Amino acid sequence: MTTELIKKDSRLFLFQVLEYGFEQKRLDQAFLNQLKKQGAQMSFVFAKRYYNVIQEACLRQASHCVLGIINIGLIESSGHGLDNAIDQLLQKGYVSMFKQGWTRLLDLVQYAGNAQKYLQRTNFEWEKNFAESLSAEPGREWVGHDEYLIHMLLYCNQKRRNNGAN
Amino acid sequence: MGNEYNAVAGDRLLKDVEQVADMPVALAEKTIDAIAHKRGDEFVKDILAHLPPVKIAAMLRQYDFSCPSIISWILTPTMIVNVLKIDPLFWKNIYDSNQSGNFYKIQNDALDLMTSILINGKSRDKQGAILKHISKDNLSLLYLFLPFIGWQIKKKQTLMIEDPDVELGTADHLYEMIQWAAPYVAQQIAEFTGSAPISLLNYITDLWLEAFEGFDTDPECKTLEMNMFLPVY
Repeated sequence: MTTELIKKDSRLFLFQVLEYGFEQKRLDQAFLNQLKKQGAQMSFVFAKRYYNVIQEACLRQASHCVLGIINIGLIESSGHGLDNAIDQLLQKGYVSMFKQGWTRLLDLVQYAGNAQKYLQRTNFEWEKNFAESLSAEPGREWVGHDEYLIHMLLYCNQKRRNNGAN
Repeated sequence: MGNEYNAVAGDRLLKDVEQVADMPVALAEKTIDAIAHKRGDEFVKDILAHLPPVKIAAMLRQYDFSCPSIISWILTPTMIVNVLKIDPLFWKNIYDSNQSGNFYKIQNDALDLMTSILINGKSRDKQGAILKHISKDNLSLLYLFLPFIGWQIKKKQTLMIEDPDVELGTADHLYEMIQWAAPYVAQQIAEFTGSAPISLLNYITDLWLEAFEGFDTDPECKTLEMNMFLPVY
């Protein structure tokens, strides 16, 4: 009798990509420093818009949300492939990866808002809600992409074939 | 000997400032209380002068005017102006248009903060000095106007007599105190409320944006904010 164990890498996709890029020597330290700088700026702007910039907990939560959305953008635009993802990162940079993820989230907000009109939530609340459910905390298991697919299945049957198949 | 003592005191001060700045707000206030018992008010004043205004604002915001924070007795007019300038950064969800109740809370908080600051001024001179500093600074003057949006002067209050019917902690009460301490500021408020009506939402949003003008000077953040939340297709 044979038992098959499927080993799955449950770390964040962005971190997998960065590690792989370093192994292949396609990324360097300067590129990593760029992530630190732009990540901090994006978290600040996110916190300014959705929480507030004074409390440390809010800033931390905002940084987790930003990281999760970058991951969604990277996965969706690269089709979950490492080589492809490195190409995308080098060509476009972190901010446009965030924008890719944010576009997906806005789609989700539109579908969910239409599907659950009775809740009478504003777009602002839906955005905040989804950003929190997709948020990624470094060092912990990330279920954001599964959440994203589940929400897509729930709220939009048209998108099912495109996204659920991968 | 005096120099040595000063050097030791300066060392002590820096240590205390670092210690207090790192603490959570409630604990920081208790620590300041303990230091005040040990070393006197002047020393605490030095500490507060070195603390970031955000920390002081956080301490003041824990209480309301009926039970004000212990540090509000020690604050100088310059510190108060600094606190008023950054206080809008504490507001939440400005972009959320569904939060009309939130704006009344913000207005109420501003009223509370102003009242507690002026009540603790005690003497007319100190209140006058505080109001003079506030009226010189544009942003904090705008903050002072915030409680008076949607408020109108009653005829009785144009007299210089304290009215026993006025409830503590209302805009009427605040106006009375201002008129007692600095009539020219009260005159400005009267002109402001007498002019065209202003929507509370717009006023709060403007004030919030202006507070950020002084706070983040990084141009990259501004461009990011402009295009970060736009969808790409």
